Amino acid sequence: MIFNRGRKDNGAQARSQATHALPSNVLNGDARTLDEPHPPLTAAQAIRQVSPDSFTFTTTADLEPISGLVGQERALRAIQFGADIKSHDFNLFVVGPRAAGKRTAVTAYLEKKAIQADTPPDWIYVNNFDNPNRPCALKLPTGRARAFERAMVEAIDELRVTLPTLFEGDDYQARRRQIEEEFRSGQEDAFEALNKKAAAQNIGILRTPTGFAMAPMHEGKVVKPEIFAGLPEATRAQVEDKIAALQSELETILQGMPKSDKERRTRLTKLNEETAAIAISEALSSVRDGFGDVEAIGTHLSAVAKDLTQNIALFVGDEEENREVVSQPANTARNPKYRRYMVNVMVANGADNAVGAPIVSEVNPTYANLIGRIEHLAQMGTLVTDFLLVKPGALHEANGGFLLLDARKLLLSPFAWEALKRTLRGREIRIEQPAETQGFAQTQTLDPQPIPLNVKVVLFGDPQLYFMLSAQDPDFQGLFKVQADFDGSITRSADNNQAYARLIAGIVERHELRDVDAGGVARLIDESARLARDAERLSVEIGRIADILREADYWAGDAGRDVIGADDIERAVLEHTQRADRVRDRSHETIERGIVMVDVDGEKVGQINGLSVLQLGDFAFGKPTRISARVRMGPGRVTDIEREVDLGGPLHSKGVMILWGFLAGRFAQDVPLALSASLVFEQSYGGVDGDSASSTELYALLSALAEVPIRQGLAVTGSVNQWGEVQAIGGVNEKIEGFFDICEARGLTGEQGVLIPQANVQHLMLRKRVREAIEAGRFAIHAVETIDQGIEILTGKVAGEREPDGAYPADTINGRVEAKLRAFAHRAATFARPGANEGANAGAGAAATDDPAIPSATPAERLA
Amino acid sequence: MMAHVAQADEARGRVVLAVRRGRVHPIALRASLLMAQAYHAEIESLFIEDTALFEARDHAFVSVCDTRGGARMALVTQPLTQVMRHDARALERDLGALAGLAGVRYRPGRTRARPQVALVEACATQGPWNLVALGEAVGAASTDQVVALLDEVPDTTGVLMVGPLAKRATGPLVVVLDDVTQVQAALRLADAVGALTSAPRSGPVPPGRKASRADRRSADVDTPTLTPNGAPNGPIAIVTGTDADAIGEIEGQLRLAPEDTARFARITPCVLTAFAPGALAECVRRVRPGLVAARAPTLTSTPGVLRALLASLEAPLLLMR
Repeated sequence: MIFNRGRKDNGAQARSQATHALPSNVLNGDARTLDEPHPPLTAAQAIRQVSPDSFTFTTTADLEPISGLVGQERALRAIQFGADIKSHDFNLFVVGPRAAGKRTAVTAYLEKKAIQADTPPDWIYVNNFDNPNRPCALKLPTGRARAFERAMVEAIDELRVTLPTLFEGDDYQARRRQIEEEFRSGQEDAFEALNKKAAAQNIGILRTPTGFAMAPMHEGKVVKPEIFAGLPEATRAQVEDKIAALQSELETILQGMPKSDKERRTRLTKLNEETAAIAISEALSSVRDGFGDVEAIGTHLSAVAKDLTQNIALFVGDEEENREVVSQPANTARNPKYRRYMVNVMVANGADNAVGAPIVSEVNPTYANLIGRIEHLAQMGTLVTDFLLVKPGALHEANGGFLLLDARKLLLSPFAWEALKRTLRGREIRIEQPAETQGFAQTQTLDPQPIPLNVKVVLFGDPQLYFMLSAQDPDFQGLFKVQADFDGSITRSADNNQAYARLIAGIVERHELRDVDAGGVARLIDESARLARDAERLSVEIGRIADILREADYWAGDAGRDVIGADDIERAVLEHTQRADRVRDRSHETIERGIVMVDVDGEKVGQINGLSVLQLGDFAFGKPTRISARVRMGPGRVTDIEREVDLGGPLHSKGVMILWGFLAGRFAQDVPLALSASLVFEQSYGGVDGDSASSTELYALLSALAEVPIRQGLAVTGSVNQWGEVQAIGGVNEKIEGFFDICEARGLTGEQGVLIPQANVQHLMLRKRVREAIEAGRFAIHAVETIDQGIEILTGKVAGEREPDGAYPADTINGRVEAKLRAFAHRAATFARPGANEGANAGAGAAATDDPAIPSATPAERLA
Repeated sequence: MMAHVAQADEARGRVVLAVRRGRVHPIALRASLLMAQAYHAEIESLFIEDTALFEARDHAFVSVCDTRGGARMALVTQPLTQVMRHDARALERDLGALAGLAGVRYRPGRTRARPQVALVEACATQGPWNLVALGEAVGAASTDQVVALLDEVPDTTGVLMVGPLAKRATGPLVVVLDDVTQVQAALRLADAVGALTSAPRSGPVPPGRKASRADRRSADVDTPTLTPNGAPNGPIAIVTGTDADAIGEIEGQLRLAPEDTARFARITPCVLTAFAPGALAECVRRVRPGLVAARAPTLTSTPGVLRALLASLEAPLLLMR
């Protein structure tokens, strides 16, 4: 008895023996009709509305506005903790759905905290006179950087006037002339004396292109060699000796010239420095007086004074030389000659009487915008730079305060994420060119002294990003230790309704909209629950709520109202839907015109209406789809056609396998499940995923097995587990409304409705028209907990329960299903009996059978 | 002075830039071009290969002491010729380019002769007027030779030269006068060259800032003293004489022609004596001229005056016959 292998249930054994005797048509007669139909939901159960009377205000003008943090106590505590804790690695990652008002809420909180904090110091870069490639970073007391910048410009302005005046003065010129004359006259006298001495000896000193030559002269002309050769030997020797002696003297004079010249320059330099020192000291004294309390400034001014002394030529340079170069601007701050003395203000806090810690939000967190950059100027075809071309980044501006960044944008900016981590770890802002950090060759660049960093970084991102970073980046958890998790929705309660009204008042204030009356607030709260897809919760998708309010403000203005009311909110929602529902209209039109076949009346065996949701941007709608099931005897497998052609996703496949588990568990405890079934979403040409249609498919399968027709006026959604319990699904409102639209278009008959899981009743926030149809008894929502409840509603027949003998009554759905499956098993066993398929290739058939207890099918069976 | 030439519309004058070595003093070069521009004259570079060098090279015992340290080397014919040829080419190329930029017609010239002879020949073959410009700075020891040049080269109107400290060719024109008859010529010279040499010496006070004490001090120095009639940016006249009486006489004569004297931005007296030959140099230095013009006798009549002037002069000197 191959059917009884491993069986322990005597009742089942008896049933097995009984069914063996069944004829080929096992389902004689009709299934028993349900005596008492399952009651549908009332219209009141289809929505949870807040009453305007529950509010104590007339309009939002009566409310104190709040901005963002409603019902987000967990996130608020995290933000408070992250903002208060001093440790540098306790930065925040604010997690939450898009447009949930995270940034607004965080900024609002941080602003309160920042105003109480100390205003951070200013930072400047100045020239490093010892090493110009490494500019010095100086910290100044708050609000003093700009003053120092101006003071330096004025000091240089002063020197531009005083130094030339000083060097043109009689005193300086006299002393300079004295030095020049001393050296020049010494040389010239020596030359002149040598000239005279040579002339007296009839020797001429001739200027050649490279030096001086001496030759015997006669009457102002060089004695020709042939004449000279004709002179007596002694005379010639005498002349040559004279020339040799004179040349020695000339050599002595010429050899002494470089040394003498150097000495002259040294004395002139000393004179210049002495002359300039007083003016320089005087010009810088006002700067020193103003910044005497800043030690770093004193040190820098000493370096400036030293450099000024050594570079007086910048102020009293040769005019002819200056004229040869490009003309220069008169503005000292922009004059290239004086750049080295200027000040590059990186951070100037306290401007416009601003106090407290800065809160900087960088909307484009590129590497340069974050860390700062070193710009270059093109000069004569070459890129050059200096400390004045060091530009601050958001980290500089936020130093001592808070920096708000979008995590996704940060990660998408090349090098930015690594640079931010490096900076936070090192606790200093080190400006490097990205290519430099990668080791690539650069044009002339700088290595500015790093600026110490004390900043609290707040990253904003969605949960997926947070989890990805947590899993993939080992540095992330070490630097962002505070997670502020914003919920996409909040619990719906009287208190939260009131808080939500204040939130709406905040939006009204921020966007300068008309006030909203209590009815409008109530309608908006209802819409918020619908956005949350849960009647028990309110969406905190502030961006979307603000959009509705702004649209409602427009319609209120269009209608000439001073206050936004419920009708304006309703119209805003409706208009928004109408703008976005072209695709829905086209989809429903194909159904209404019969192009896509969906029945909304009558009865069919193995055919049922499933419901799916299509999400297009921020608009979603439900769409009915015919699902059909065919059954036959087979090797025990269900063919999910969607999966076979790769149109079904993994969750859909999972749902099909679960329903197969339910069938096997309920009906094939003691017999093989000799069933082949095929399930398909008719006229579905896109992908199908999710398990929300698994109960629907199961109903179709049961209908096909029991040969009991299903009411086509009903559509079904809900997933099922292996015990036949119907489980919650998403998008219940859209699904119901989608089917309602089709039924309404074809005419509501009162026999139409939707089966939903009982667990989804709490999510119902249905449209007014649907609620009105329910109220009028022209449409019904049935909440079911089990497959048996569902099949009874769908067929109007009794599902049936096992009787004491373990069998389902034959006139029930379950009894008919069981009978059909046992008949399949019996036939399968008959086909597998030795001799029944002589000549067939038993080995090949066995390979096609999943259950080893079931003999292999015949070739004809396999072909079928 | 030479201004009569331009007045006669004789645009065939020439500035002869005499050069014996490759490197020309930049201020001498600039001044030469300015004069050529001012009088719409052409400029000729006369590269002189001193025959004395070629005669001296045949003496086996003649060698050259290098100016950069006195090292001694042979005076070899081939390198000497090559060096001179290269120097001349470089000069012609550079000066040609500068003349083109200045809109001045340029004529290159080379000759192998004694310098004075070369200049005499150059000035004799062209005309109607020639101005000899010396390419090298004139040291104190050479002042006598320069003065002699005016005698040796009869066809030159004057000699344009720079001293060892020359560093500027912009600024007011300073004319040194010892005779009231020179006033008209001086004014014509000012008309011709004044616009080219005049230029502000210091920038204005940056906008948005009050003039500082230093600004005011600077303004005191920089702003030329105006005549009672207030002629701005005019030439500065330095009236010289051997004593105060001589100067007083000239000034008295000047007052007789107020319309002329009013055109001078300043008239400064300066007594020239052998005991203080540097007085004129000091007067000139104080006004930071862009060009100084004087008749040769004015400067050479008192010993040491020209020498002292050249020794301290930062601008070119136009020494007229």
